[in-house]
Amino acid sequence: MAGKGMTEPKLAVDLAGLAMRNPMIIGSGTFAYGEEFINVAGFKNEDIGAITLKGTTLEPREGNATPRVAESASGMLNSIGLQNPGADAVVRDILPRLRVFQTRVIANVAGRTVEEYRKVAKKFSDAPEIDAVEVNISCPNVRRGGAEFGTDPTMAGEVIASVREVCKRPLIAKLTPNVTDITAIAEACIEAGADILSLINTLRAMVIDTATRRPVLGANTGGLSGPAVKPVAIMMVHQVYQIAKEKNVPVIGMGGISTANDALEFIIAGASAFSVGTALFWNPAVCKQIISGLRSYLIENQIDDVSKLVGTLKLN
Amino acid sequence: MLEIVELEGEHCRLRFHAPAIAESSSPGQFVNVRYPGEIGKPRAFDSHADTIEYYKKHPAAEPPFLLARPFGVHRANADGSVEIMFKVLGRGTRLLAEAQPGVELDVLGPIGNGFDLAHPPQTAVLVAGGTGIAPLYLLAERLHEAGAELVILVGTGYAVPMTVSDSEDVVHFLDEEVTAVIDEYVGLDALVRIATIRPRKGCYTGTSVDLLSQYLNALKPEQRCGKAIFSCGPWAMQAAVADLAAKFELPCQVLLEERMGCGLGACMACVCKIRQESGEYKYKRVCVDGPVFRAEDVGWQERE
Repeated sequence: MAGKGMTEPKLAVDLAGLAMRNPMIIGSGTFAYGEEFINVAGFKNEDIGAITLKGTTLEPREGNATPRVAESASGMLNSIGLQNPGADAVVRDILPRLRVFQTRVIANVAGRTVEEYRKVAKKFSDAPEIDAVEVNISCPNVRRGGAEFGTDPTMAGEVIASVREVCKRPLIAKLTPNVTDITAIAEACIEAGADILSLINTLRAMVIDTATRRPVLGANTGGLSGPAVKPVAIMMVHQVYQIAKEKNVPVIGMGGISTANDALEFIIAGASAFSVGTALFWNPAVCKQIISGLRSYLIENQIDDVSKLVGTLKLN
Repeated sequence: MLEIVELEGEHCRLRFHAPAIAESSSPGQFVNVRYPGEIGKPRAFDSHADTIEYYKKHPAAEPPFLLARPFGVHRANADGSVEIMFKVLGRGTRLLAEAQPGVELDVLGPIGNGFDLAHPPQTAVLVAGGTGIAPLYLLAERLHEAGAELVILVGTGYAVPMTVSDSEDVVHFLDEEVTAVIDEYVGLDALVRIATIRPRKGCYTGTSVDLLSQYLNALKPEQRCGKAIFSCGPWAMQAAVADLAAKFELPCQVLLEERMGCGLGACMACVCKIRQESGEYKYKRVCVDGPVFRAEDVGWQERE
């Protein structure tokens, strides 16, 4: 496949100090705390740039009533409700078991108040196993009537600024797509000190069982992920990249990636790295396939470094 | 995929070649099976009803189907093949039912903690509701090999997806006209009886829980010794089985079903309240913490 004189393309990337062997990350919530996939044939931590741990709150959370998952055309809805054992238990019991030598580890932080985000972020930032901290700003703010932090530039900025003060690691702000103008939120997060932006989180959605006339999900609504959301995610990455590149803030793109071509779309739109999530559920070998396809594309197009492809979109 | 057999009541038995899974499956474990089908071409429809009808007949024409479906291992054969048995209920099972021998299926397994057979009972009472009958075959086979006597009580709506025939034996706990048995289980020297909701010749009219209740009530207290219950079926049925097990002080293991995302323990979708050592009920994952639990640990009342 390799053209004449073509050397192996460089896949390694460095996003604001988060150095990875390749630009592929496992998205939060699809991988629990990194232990479940280890025994699955076809999956290897060594194929991946970084893993993102499940969203973690200060106190343990029980999560939502079942059913917690529903399928839709080319997508799935989930409403897990951030079930997790709490930050202290994760840092104390789970992090020491992680095979950190195999890949990079990103913590994902959730909260209901600015203080909760800050406390959880500090615990992870201080843990030696953690390479970066991602802040999930799609949670409802209990102090502001439950409006999601990530839907308001001021609230989003407050959370990021507060976490920034205690976070020694690269800080990633994970943006929600459930907004009118995602660039306003992106700007506020960059202003508040985010080193990296990641997008998109899931889209709010509902599936109804026509036999019972009830929502399929126990929590009525959930977050849509999978191939169905990809075009929305691509457009938002494109929009956010226009702002982020001015400030030298790299973007992690995600939403429905299940093939190498999907990942390439994100990179061309402006993502320096990308996350795979839902696709792992039906194809645990997807990571290896994506990296191999990405490499072939670079060789065929004589691109010696994946970073050179970032944001090379040619608008009509 | 090697073979698909249509059985009564829109049930199917599907056999596929997967030697590693066949060799390592233990009773109560499951496999995640996905057949994505062929994506159909767009076409015009005369009416909404026409559209619905078309998609019923051609499920593969719908957009790609993402998630695998979990099925308890029905049989794990020495020739390296594995069998599952299911009722066609929704799109996933419809697609599988239309798959033809020779196609490649995505199969992941075996998954989960199966039945605890470290100390097989003298008499194992297996209770199945609906398609709960499927995973109990492998269990019956292994218990039979371990020397346990088998009592198998099956309840369905009407259809029984195995070979039903008439037995001449009379069982002491039921009327003498309840004679229908399942040949596959008789082959394992089991005492078998069937209950159906809709009256069916030779079957008890009622549920598998009714059968179990009559069986247990006919036991003298000293006969309870050495008996254990193994159950698989819908939630309400298993809750009733758990109640009976508690009342008669018999150990009972239940194989739970829940809607799953990944089947690997990563997505936390298929949870169920399980009692912890502290006495507190906590959400555990049916896929990897189960799917088999001790009946007394399941939060039967905790479900909303």
